[in-house]
Amino acid sequence: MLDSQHVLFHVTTDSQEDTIRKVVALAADTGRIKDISAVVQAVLDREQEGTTGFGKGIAIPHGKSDQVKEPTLLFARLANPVDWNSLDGNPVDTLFVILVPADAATEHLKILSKLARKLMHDDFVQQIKSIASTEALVQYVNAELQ
Amino acid sequence: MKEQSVIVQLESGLHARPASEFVSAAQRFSSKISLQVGDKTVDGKSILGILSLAVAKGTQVVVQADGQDEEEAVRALTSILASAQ
Repeated sequence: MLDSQHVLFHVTTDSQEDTIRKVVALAADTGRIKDISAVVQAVLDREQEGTTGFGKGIAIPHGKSDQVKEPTLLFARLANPVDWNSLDGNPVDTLFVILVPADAATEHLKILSKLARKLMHDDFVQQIKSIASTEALVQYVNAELQ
Repeated sequence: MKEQSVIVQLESGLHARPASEFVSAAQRFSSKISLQVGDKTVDGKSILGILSLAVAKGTQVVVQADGQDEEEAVRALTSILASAQ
């Protein structure tokens, strides 16, 4: 589900939009999406509807666009926390980003629901914030999301 | 305890803005609030709990409230779920 090429550590960023753009650009590099700007806009539009900063410094931004070729889960850990208008008011330093094609009916909701369930557990939160290597993180997240 | 079953009419299900609205509304009541779908029950005041249910339009859910303002809570929360947006 999470692929090692879709993990970013130490992302330097100055805003929510900049963060989203950097993660979406990675999905473009790996051929999962076509137009970066359209996908960034879809994710920002979703944030406008209601923040995906669900607390504990974690956000799950997501978007649906015809510029997304296949459902993609990305992970990013930021070098510096950024404001996300989070429910608990805290800035965000860890993100899961879910990108899905326009015709994917409930795919992203399934991933989102699994992530939400895991994020209620503090040990999951602590692990995703602290695991140092990409491979270990990917292995951990995929095992947890089974 | 008071509970009521309702079919979710929200166009895109209980996500995004409606999910936040539901949780904010639930937090205004002193009663303990739960949302039940099938055999899963979550804390109605937790956004992650609500999102973990992945409630789509047309899903039957049960709103439960337990406390002094349980009647009012059930009424307010079911009306959010039964509204179209």
